[in-house]
Amino acid sequence: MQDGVAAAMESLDLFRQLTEAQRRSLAALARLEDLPQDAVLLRTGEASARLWVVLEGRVALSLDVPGAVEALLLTLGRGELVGWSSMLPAPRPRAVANARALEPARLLAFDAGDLQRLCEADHEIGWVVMRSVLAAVGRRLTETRLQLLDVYGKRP
Amino acid sequence: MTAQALARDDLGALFDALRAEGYRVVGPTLRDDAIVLADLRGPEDLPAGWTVRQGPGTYRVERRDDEALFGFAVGQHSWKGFLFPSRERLVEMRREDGALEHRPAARDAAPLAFLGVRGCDLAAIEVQDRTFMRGRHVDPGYDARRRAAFVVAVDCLEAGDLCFCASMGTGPGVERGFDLRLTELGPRFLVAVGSARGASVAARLPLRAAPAGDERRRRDGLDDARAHMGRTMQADDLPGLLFGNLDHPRWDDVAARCLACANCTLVCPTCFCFSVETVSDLSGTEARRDRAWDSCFTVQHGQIHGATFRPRIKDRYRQWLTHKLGAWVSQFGVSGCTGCGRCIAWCPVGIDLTEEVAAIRATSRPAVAMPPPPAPAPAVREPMVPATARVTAVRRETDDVVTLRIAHEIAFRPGQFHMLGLPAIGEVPISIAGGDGRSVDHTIRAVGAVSGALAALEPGHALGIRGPFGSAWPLEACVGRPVVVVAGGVGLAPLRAALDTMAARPLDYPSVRLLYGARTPADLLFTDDLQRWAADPRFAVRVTVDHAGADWRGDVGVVTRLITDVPPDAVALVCGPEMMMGFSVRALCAAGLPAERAYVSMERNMACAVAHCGRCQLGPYFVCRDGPVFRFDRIARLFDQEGF
Ligand SMILES: Cc1cc2nc3c(=O)[nH]c(=O)nc-3n(C[C@H](O)[C@H](O)[C@H](O)COP(=O)(O)OP(=O)(O)OC[C@H]3O[C@@H](n4cnc5c(N)ncnc54)[C@H](O)[C@@H]3O)c2cc1C
Ligand code: SF4
Ligand code: SF4
Repeated sequence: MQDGVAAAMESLDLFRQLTEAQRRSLAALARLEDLPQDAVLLRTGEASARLWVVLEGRVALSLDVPGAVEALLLTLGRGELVGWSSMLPAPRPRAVANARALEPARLLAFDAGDLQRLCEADHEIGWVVMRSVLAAVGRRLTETRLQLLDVYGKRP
Repeated sequence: MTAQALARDDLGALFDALRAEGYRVVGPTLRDDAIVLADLRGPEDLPAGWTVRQGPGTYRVERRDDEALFGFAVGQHSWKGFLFPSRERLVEMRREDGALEHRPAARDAAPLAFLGVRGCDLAAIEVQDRTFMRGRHVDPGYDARRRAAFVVAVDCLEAGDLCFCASMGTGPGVERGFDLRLTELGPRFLVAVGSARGASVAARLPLRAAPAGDERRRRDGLDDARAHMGRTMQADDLPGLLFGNLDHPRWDDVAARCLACANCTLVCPTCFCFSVETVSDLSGTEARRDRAWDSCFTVQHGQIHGATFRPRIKDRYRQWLTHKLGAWVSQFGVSGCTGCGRCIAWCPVGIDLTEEVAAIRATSRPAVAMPPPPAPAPAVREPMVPATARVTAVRRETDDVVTLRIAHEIAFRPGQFHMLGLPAIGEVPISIAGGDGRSVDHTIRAVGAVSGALAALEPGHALGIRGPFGSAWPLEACVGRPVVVVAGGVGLAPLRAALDTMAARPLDYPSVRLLYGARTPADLLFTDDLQRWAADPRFAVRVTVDHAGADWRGDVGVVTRLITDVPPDAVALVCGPEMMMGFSVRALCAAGLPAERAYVSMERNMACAVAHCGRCQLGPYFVCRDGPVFRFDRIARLFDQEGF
């Protein structure tokens, strides 16, 4: 299993910046999760305790809209993070969206508490991890802005 | 040949000779305190003894000390009013019992003799010739009037307060392009013949040998005028200089003064922009399309449904000046300014383009390279008269989008477009979404009056169709390379024929990736085609939407998210809203694709689609002629520039 983790981590751009040794310390905290289609990773309102990296398949983020059908917000694929808010300092926010596997998926899962402790203890690793989280969040913010522009919509 | 002269007292003979040869004589005359161009009965109608005083924002007629007939500089009128009238009927349409007929409007090409054409104005006529007669599409009305017109040119031996023809190389003397030329030397005119027609009129005149020294007096007079030009402007390097300084603070400065009144464009003898209006009788049986002078200073000029490309006065003044002095050279091979000075005099706030240019030059950044004018192409006549075609099938793609199949035998290249029109409603550009030589497909989104009416057509209905126009996707450059197609919204329509071509030629196109973004799953076009392409092992099709319900199994998120792992030798074809294209090309370049292998299809307001109406300008280009498909690096600078 841990071999699988190491190989997966090596194949991801996300961890390129780390040395072999640093990658090993991170890998020690991670495990592979294989999810069937429609498996739920996160549910709105629950405190999220894990950070995932998608390896295969796609994960959908969705929002429960009262009185309407569930709205899909974003689909995430290989190399993308799910549950980044688990990396925020305590008190950890509750999930504001659902996350579920759109199709059978394989993910790399970290326990957020362990990961935060490692980052605290080893700031070299912490810096790389936090920068990756920030890059993912920043990208998502930019893309959300584009979505908000509604460029395909009928212009008034 | 010895120089010949016509006595001033014999000038009436010139009128008689021109009339005898069938011309109506028009020229300068004093009216309402200005020297205008109008029908002349004889020499008595010329403004004898009058001159004009001009400055920025002022124009006054004044008495001269002598009785000179041509002793004044140009006024608010120019000959363009006769060759390119401010309003002209182009096409007449008749719809009766389901039949639709389009015919060219009757034209009045009664030959005119222009009496008193100055060097700057003859140059201006030749500048407009390039727009209306020398491009791929010939305006038949202009062409007929211009060919029929007889030009009696007049040298300028005195320069006006605002003249700078010497800087522009258009005056003060007239050396070619005339039928007859007069040089006013007190009691007589030195006469030169410039054409066979001129010789035939001259043969009717009581000409005498000019006194020795008249030729020298002419040359001295011209030298004197050249030495006393009211203005100067260094112009040869302006295209690159102005386009290299689109962010110069002077644009803000001039924008604070400019009223966007459009006077400058109306008086300018070379400005050619027009709008097209559809007029119909109450029953809708008879309709016609008229053109009317328009100006880049109006908001409509740069407007398409819901978007205004030049919202600020700064954008519009900059559009005017960069076009006139810069883009014109790329479009037509000549500057759009002849140095006549009209726009300075008739600007109510006295904006002087020579001053604006000097101010920009004084603190300018380096010039940029400009594209060369296009190669000559065989002329097409009657480009504004549509063919009549019939809808044979209608397919509803989404709530507001339909695909019309139209019986129309035409060869086209994927990426080109047609002008589709309905007689009493109007005409709009629509890309060709497919075709088989016997029919064409057009996919239309109902966003306004014309597109709405087109989208409501039913099988059997007739419509007008012109084209095909414009550039195509570079399918030959894609042969043997991986192709990445990025489409957004209705932007898939202009790419559909290209995708079908690639699907039909497996050996030429080994790998095609289609990345398609739409607003919601319900807004996806061509769902059958998407499945067909996806089933082809050479194709990878990925579809993403901005919003979806839980039953959607495709991707959600902006289309740029799909742009990953771009092969380094790929060619990218991108079409969609301008914002989406900008982000997509940036993402492609970030993934390693060079900008010269990305192509985009641009949209601008279009009234004619044949590079005559001036509305679809994009810097040095016309979208209808040089586009709509552009290689991205060629327009990258304008793409990131606000207000173009
Ligand atoms: C090269 C090209 C290809 C196009 N291909 C397609 C296509 O395949 N499918 C499709 O649905 N739409 C296409 N469009 C856009 C389409 O031309 C406009 O939606 C249409 O002109 C809107 O006119 P309207 O009268 O319905 O709307 P209104 O908003 O009422 O427009 C009024 C007038 O403004 C002008 N105008 C408005 N929008 C545009 C525009 N985008 N381009 C040029 N002039 C405009 C026209 O003169 C029009 O008559 C294309 C545009 C261009 C320039
Ligand atoms: S830009 Fe001004 S000076 Fe130049 S030709 Fe036009 S009106 Fe004359
Ligand atoms: S430059 Fe002068 S004439 Fe031209 S639009 Fe502005 S205010 Fe009017």
